[in-house]
Amino acid sequence: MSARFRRFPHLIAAVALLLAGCGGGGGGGSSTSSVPIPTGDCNAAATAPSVASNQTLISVAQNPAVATSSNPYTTVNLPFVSVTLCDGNQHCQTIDHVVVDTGSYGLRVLHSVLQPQLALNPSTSGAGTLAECASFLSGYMWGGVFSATVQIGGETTTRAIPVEIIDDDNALTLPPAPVSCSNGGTNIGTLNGIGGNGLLGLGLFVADEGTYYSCSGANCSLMSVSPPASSQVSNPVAFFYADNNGAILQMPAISGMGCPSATGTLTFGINTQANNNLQGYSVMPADGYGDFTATYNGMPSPSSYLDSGSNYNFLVIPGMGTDGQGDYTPPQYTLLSPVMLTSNVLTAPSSIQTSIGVISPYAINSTYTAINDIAGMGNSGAIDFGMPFFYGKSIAFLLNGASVAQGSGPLYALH
Amino acid sequence: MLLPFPRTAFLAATLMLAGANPLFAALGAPAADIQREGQVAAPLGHQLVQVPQGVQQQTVLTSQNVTVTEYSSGGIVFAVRWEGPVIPDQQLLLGTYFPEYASAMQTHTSMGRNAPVQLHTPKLVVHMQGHMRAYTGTAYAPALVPNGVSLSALGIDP
Repeated sequence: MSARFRRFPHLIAAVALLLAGCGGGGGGGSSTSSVPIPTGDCNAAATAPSVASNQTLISVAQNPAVATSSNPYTTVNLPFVSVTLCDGNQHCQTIDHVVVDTGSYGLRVLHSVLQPQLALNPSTSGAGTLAECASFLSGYMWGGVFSATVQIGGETTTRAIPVEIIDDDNALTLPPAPVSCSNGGTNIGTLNGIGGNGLLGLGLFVADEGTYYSCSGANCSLMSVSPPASSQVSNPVAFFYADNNGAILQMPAISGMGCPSATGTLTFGINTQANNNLQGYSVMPADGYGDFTATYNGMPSPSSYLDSGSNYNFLVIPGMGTDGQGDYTPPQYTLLSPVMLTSNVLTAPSSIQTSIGVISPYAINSTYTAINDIAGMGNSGAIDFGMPFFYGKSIAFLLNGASVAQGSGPLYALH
Repeated sequence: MLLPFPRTAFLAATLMLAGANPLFAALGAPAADIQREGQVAAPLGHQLVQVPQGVQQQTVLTSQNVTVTEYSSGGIVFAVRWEGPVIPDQQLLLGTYFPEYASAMQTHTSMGRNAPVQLHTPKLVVHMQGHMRAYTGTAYAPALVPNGVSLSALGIDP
């Protein structure tokens, strides 16, 4: 997960820059072109589709809890779903505003939103309890590992699976993050850090391969040997009774000027139901890291990936200016095309051709949460296709180890 | 242009490591620390390997399966490159340069959280990218880089 958040005060700056931006210069370069801003129907994008039992709605909209927090911001491009946790006594609680993150694996939920009645069993490690430091580029999440049965839409895990309970402000269950964890920068395991009440990692793999600690009393020590994969915080999809080989994110097309909100569908299973067949999709096997090569402007980026938990696209765009945060601010809407997606797996089919639109975030209404063309500076070697890339597409994630007629996981498929 | 980070296959090597002690020689520290600590992954080969321009290279695998390659000159580590399923403890990686990193990141994040890390200060340059189970990064201390050494040739993002 990686996010960049816009603050509400941007509205004033946005209007000013929009006016100043009229008649700005062109993009230049053979693979950059200034084209009309694509139009889109925001009313249609906001309309909730009907869902089947293996589906749940994805809502990209302002999280009211963040808007009324001490540090309010617009929850841009954060795809929210509701997730239900159940303890061993069949006490269940539904958690709203959990961010779907295809760039991570496993469910992490804020301790502060859990009811006291929800009695989740802590995972043990020898004589102590198991804790995790989950590292992200923007910071860390520290929490205890607990067992919970997870329900999303009509799907339920066959048993209680390891989940991470983060943001334990009251330290009821866990000592504070050890220095070796907090060295990872900001604690993003919070409402403001996530933008929601939890993070649902349902990318191409199952176990999260995080950094685990064994805690006894006030002491947590780094485990020199990681716990087995079965004890690690894990992607719930793999544990559903049925429809457990992957997931598909379907988001509506939106306007190039953004939309106030957008509603899509998260579908579980690949080729298990009429609504999750890969027929018509372009498939792209991922490598053992979950990556592929994206080539733009003659530069191949072999560690590229599709990450619904990134709220911008992150890449290197030669010659395009940025603001102080590293947001690209082209004077007018710019289309990067072609962007070629090629598998790093030798036996893969041919490349998929796509494009990336880029607009200055200052040109967008600062209350809009669904934006398909904002981009931030990346590093060479990787294009992070974030949530902006998901609008107007269906993107399937076939889990590592799973096989369907179109190929074997880890595999992406785009439609 | 910048070289894409060349990923090496992870070796399923188990390290005989003790607790959270430093697992490698940090940026600016003597390269020999790696031996003194005795925590080097033998299968990856930690003999000092001569690379062009008088630079020495050594690689270790941490207990969190992060592969760390250090580049040294005159026995002092001037650049590090890493890849792994998690982001390694930056205090161990950056050594005495860690406070520089920590304070710069503080300013960085106050402008809004962002994805790839691109940190340039006069003392320290850090790049980090990737996602869970597949992070990569590089760091170097400009003042320690020997004259004439091409960082790009070593896979270090300048």
